[in-house]
Amino acid sequence: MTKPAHTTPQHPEPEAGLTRETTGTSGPAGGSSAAQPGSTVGLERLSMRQLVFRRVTSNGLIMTGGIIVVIIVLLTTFGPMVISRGPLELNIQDRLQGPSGDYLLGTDNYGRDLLSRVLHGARVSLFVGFAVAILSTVIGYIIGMYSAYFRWADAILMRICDGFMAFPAILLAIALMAVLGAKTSNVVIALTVVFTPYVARVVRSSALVVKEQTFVEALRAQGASSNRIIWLNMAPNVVSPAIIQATFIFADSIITEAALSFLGAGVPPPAPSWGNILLDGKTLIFNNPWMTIVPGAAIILTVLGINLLGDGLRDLFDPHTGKAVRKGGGRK
Amino acid sequence: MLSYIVKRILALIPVLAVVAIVVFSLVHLTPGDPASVMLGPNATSDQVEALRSEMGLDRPLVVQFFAWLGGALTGDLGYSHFMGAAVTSVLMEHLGPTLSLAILAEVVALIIAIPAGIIAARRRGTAVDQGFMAFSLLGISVPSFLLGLFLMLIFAGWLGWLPVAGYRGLEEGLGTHLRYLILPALALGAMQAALTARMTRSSMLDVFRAGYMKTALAKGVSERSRVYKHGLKNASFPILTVVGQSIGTLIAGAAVVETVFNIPGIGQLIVNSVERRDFMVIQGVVLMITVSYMLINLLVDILYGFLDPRVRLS
Amino acid sequence: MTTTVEPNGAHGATDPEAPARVITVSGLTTRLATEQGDVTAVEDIDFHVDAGEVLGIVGESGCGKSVTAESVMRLLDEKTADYSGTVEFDGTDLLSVSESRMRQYRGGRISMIFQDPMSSLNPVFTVGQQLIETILIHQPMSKEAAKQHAIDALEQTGIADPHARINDYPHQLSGGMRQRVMIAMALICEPALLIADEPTTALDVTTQAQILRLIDDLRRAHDMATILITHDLGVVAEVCDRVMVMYLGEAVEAGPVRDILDNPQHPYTRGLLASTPGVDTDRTQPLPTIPGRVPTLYDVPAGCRFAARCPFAEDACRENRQQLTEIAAGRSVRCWKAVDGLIDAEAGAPNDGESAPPTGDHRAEGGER
Repeated sequence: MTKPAHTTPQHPEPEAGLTRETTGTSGPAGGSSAAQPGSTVGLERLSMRQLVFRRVTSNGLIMTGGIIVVIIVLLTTFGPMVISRGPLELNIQDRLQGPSGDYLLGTDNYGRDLLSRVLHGARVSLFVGFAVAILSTVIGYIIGMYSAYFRWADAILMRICDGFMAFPAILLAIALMAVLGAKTSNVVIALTVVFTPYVARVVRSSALVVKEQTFVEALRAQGASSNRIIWLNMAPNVVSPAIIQATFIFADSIITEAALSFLGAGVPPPAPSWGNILLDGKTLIFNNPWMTIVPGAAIILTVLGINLLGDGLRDLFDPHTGKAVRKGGGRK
Repeated sequence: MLSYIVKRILALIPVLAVVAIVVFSLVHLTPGDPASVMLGPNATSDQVEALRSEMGLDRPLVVQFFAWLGGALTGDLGYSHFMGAAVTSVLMEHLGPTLSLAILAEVVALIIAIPAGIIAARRRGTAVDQGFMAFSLLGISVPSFLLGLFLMLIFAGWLGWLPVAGYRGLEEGLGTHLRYLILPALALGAMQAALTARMTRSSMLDVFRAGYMKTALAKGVSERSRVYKHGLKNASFPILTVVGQSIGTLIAGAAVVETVFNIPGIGQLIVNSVERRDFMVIQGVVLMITVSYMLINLLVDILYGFLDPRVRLS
Repeated sequence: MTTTVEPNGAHGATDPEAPARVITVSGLTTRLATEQGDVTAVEDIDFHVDAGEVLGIVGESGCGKSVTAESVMRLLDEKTADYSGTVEFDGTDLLSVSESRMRQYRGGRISMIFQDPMSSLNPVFTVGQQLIETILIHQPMSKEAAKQHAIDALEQTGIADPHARINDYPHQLSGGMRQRVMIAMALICEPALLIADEPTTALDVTTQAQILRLIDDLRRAHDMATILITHDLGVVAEVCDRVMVMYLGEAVEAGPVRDILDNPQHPYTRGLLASTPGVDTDRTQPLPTIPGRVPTLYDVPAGCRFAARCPFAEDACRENRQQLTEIAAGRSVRCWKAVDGLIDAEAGAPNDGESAPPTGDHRAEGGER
């Protein structure tokens, strides 16, 4: 061995100074951190490859979910323009028909075109879901960031969030709708109240981690204002968990809106939403199952697409969940 | 252990306070005067005035709050004009079917979820596991009322195996009771099953990576005993937490499923009350379910403490 | 493989006085399926251990020493691991017996102690439950008898008040105590072979020396064959009879401990020794380290696996796969230049100050700090 030490590339484990790990002054922690060296066969050194691999697989989820969502958004946007009949157009003589050339998915008990109603209903459902996702994320972001930064705000805001989160989501939504009155805008308000604390919690816990990093300390020492640190320096580092949470809230809002409308406490008739089409269809379920199957399938497909997207994003952003992906399929 | 329990109970107090304030405020959030909203447009001003003073709406808010809170703490949740009875007694009348449904749904969920989660974890990465993951993702994407409608359509309508809707109490025999309750319980339990199964799978996978599983193997412990004795006991703690949390969700979710199957439980009560804008009942239902949800979670936490030696003996 | 050299050490195989051969591993190769493809984690490993003897397996993280040990007991996930070669124990090839037969060996005739006593014991069972479970798997006896046996075993490992400790959960014990419990559990069925995989790495320095001494004492008392896996040459110097140095899944050098420490042949072994602080090391100077990094198992070099980091490497090294070659009785090395004596010539005498071998004294010094 003639090469001097300083030419050694900095790599924590494979440096040759083996005994230093334990016999030196490093103490008990030195060795235990290099947990079970042989059993993972140097896999830890493959983290970059693993990351790439994981991105590909999670892209599979993102791709599938994304394609479903895009198709649904396209159908929602352009579908109603192509359909000649309006969602409220009554043709009593054609009531409760099955699918035909005239009515592609049949008609409901008033003879309204089911396809038209489901496509227009999609606009309402997606609007509610999207609006709730955006509003609760923005408000939750603000609450979460301030809670993370100011201890006094944390004490108050997080107690309030805990209180709201103690209610089962659907129950709080029903109660709020009962007092506010059945109206699409009230659905958005009620669901935003219900889901905001979930974003606030996630943003706060991620922001607390960011806050501990030295650059925040340095900025504070330089005398940067709190708002500047919070919004220009800390907030951008918390975007990904918030986006993931927003995706799941999007899906949950669509489900909850449908449930509320199904209970008669959501979007009021005659305007179509997936939930109230199901409500109309409920009493006629054996006479015309299409009224249940079509909006039902629309909900399931949309929510599944968004959940796939959310799962994919989570795998992409959060390396910890990928820990489960270790040894691949067995060969035997 | 005692300090652990005390800490858990103390942590509940601020949450309970927020819950109480929110529930109390519900009535006052309504646009306009709650009494006139409750009575509808045809009520005379005398009737409105009478209800106002009965509900105490003419008193200062703080006084109203403490009067209400004092009542709630002693089990008095007010009087429902529509039902012509005390809210508490109305609640009690409707509680049975809801509890029955929620418990059966939980049982269904656990029977499906735990074995499925364990099998998926043991077959990690195989087609079985991928099928499981796809199915569980579907499970969390189908709302319970929708699944209820589909199950009703298939099993009660097309196949005619089970009653379409309705409810028969336990007094009519367990068989009849279950026949009427099984579809709603499946509908309600499916999402919980998916969530619990995913949790079971991931905590089993965590456990499989633990050093003590290798020790057990090196000791000569059989595969079955390794998975079910050494593994499951360790994995059961996070699963237990999910189960505890699911009970509240199930009781609330029962509200929607009951509507599908015409079950005269709390859910139907709340839906009818929303239509009638019977704020007193709504307030009572929300408070009761939320508080019992919190208490169940407290119990689960304490149970957790008793089961996990690391908590019990610290 | 031209020569299947076994690091025989002091006792030759034909010597009638020789202690009984406990385990003979030949041509052990373990392939693992991973997401990135299959890797050969260890390749063509040969060694044997006699009763009462300690074989050290040394190398850096990921060199395959733990995989070697776990392959002997077939502890790797059956779905992803594929073994070949033979592991002869009690006249049976362990790699070809059924899983249920293998279970009887594990914990009964062959035991293992792991690195981290924090995670090796099951947190939800008491020490007693875990010890009794082990006994009852291998020896039919009443629960009471097993409990007494467990208490005796704890006492043997120097645990004070074993009657009380037996009802404790692992988290109530210190790291050293837990490792004593692991040792008690490993030895409770009086195995013929003990495999200790970095048994002291996770412990604090004073406890390390105690645990090492305990293993050594029990090994002597029970005349057990022992395989000690470590990255610490100080430990090797202190307790091992023979040593096998591993690099990237291969044995690169094997032989009696004194020979290897005093007269290392393989450039990797030399590097290891040079980078180990000895008594006479100038502590104001940084220790020399081996340049470069260990390649991953996914891109194993075609020629000598150490060539990229070897100061003596030439083109022939990078092109030709090296063979483990016997250079003296019980002494072998995987380096053609070492076999031909070229390395000594290039580097000068191996013992001229630069590579001061660690000694038992040095270990003791480390232990007291």
